[in-house]
Amino acid sequence: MARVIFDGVSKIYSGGGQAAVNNLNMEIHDREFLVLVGPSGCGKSTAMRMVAGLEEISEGQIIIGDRVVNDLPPKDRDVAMVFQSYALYPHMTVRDNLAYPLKLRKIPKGEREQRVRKAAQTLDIEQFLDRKPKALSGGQRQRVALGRAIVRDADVFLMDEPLSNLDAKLRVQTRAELIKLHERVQTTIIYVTHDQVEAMTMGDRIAVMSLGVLQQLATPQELYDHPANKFVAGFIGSPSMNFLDVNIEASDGRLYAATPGFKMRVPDEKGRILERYRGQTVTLGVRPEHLVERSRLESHTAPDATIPVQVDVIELLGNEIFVYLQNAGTVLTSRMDPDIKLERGQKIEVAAEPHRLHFFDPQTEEVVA
Amino acid sequence: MATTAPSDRKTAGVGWSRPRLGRAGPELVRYAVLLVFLVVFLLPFLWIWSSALKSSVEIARRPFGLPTEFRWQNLQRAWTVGHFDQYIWNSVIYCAAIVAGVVLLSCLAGYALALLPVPGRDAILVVFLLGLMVPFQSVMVPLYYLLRDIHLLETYWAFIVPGIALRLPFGIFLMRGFFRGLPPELADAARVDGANEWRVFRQVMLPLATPGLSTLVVFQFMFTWNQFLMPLVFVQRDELRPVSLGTMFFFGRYTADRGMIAAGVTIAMLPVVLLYLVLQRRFIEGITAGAMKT
Repeated sequence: MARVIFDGVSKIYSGGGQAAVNNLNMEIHDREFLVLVGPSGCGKSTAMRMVAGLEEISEGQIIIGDRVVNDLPPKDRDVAMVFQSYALYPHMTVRDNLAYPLKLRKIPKGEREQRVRKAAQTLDIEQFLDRKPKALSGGQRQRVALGRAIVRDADVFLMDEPLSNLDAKLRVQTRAELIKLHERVQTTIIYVTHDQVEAMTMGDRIAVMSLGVLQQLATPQELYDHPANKFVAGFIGSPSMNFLDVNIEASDGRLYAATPGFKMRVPDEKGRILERYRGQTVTLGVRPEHLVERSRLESHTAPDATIPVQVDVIELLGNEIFVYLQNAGTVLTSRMDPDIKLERGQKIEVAAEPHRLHFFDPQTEEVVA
Repeated sequence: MATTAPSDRKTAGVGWSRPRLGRAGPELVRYAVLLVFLVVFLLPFLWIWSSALKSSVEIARRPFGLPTEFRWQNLQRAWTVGHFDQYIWNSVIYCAAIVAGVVLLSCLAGYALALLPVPGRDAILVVFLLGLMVPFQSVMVPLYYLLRDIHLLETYWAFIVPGIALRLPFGIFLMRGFFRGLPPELADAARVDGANEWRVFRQVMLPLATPGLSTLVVFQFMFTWNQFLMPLVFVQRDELRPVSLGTMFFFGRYTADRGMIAAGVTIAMLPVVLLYLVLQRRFIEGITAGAMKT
């Protein structure tokens, strides 16, 4: 069991260009389940491959436990890895696939057999031990790939989008099993995915990356409630957060967020911080599930703290509805209860609780209030 | 309903039979063309095998007829008097050494050029491929003097060493193509599992390249077995000659024992024909591999 530290780690591929990973600083605690999430090409897999020793580190250092592993080959790092394509050895049986890492570590045959059997029991793949990978289904192969990792008893497990080749139902099921597996084996896990639902449901903490840069490292709830910047705010949550460019205007001693289509009073607690943006444009962000019909807000809302909109499209999903709202050409998405009665073209007023409004600096895109 | 059903069936029947009749014509043509090719390719074999059992006189008199009496002693004489027992053994030695050398070196170089971060590997590959473009005739004479100077001429090595060197470009090209077709994650998985680079190659990637390997073996074996010019120039002593040279010595200045020549050719071609029949799928793969797998 071990912690993993990225200390100013960068990866620049030969041929120049932008760094695939740029000055990554992060500590993954012992026995933590950390999810690296981000869109394709954000550097999450590269960061993981650097931990495994499959990519050289251009700058900085990676520490596993108490050892700097920069110059250690993969075999000496004591990490186990599950690949997106499973990477099972096609010419070996499941038993040999599981035993291979133990054989390389010169574990005696008796113990090897015992550990293979135990891992197979844990993952319920005992009946497939004498089959070749091609005779297994996608889900079974995925279990064997996991088995090859847990049989090692390694310090750190690395998982590179291990669920992305499974169908939707199996993915949900395996997700839950992975969470239970982590509780059982109590190992540090670094898990790479581009699926924010996987990230939110599995991670103790989530590291959101974009363009090789760590955007935010926090617990799932913190990421959702307090995104550090516009990228994280837009990436986490589905449907994604609504963003509007608004002018901060002062009138009657209060601040207002104004667009050509509406003028909404800024909550007092946000107003104090936004004072320095008076006369400037900022980005207002509000999640679809927080943008509700005015009468449904829990707290009392001032009449000038709402946005007048017209219902454009209604999507019924059974347990909820997505409502697309228009305000002077701007489209806002709202996620509402299915019992609310709305019709296309209907004019309503929507609002959000003050603490659910996020304001971002238009240049840096960092959250300001 | 009862009245319409039979007419429906009839229509359906007509619909079925028309395209079948329409297809029969081109199919007949196709089979006819294939038959012509079959005869064209098979006739030389049948002719040489039947000639192997005739006397020279009979070959001259009835070149395309079946033997009137089967002269099995032609084969026996070619084997003993014509030294084909020795020549076959020599060919086996040459093939074993050259095939082993080419396969071993091609696998190592092909793997490195396909999957390892070798600096300038594309340039190295181009240099190897240049070797494919050099005809043996153009290096034959300098190679002769080189082999003479290092005292390899008139030894087994005189054919084995240049034989390996001149066939390496093709082998490397073929094996690089096969290794490039393998998923690189398998090598990564083995590295993380604890394998060093040699084990990654030997225990994971090489077993997966078996189809490429057997194609290379078959291809290489057939090429080496049929080599004529190189052994003719470099190994002239009778006890070192491979079987491909053997038949040449049934020709006198003014005479030729045609029955013996045919018997010698029959003995020489048998291993290759048998190998081809057993492994023809691999052989076809070998021909197309370069085009498909790079």
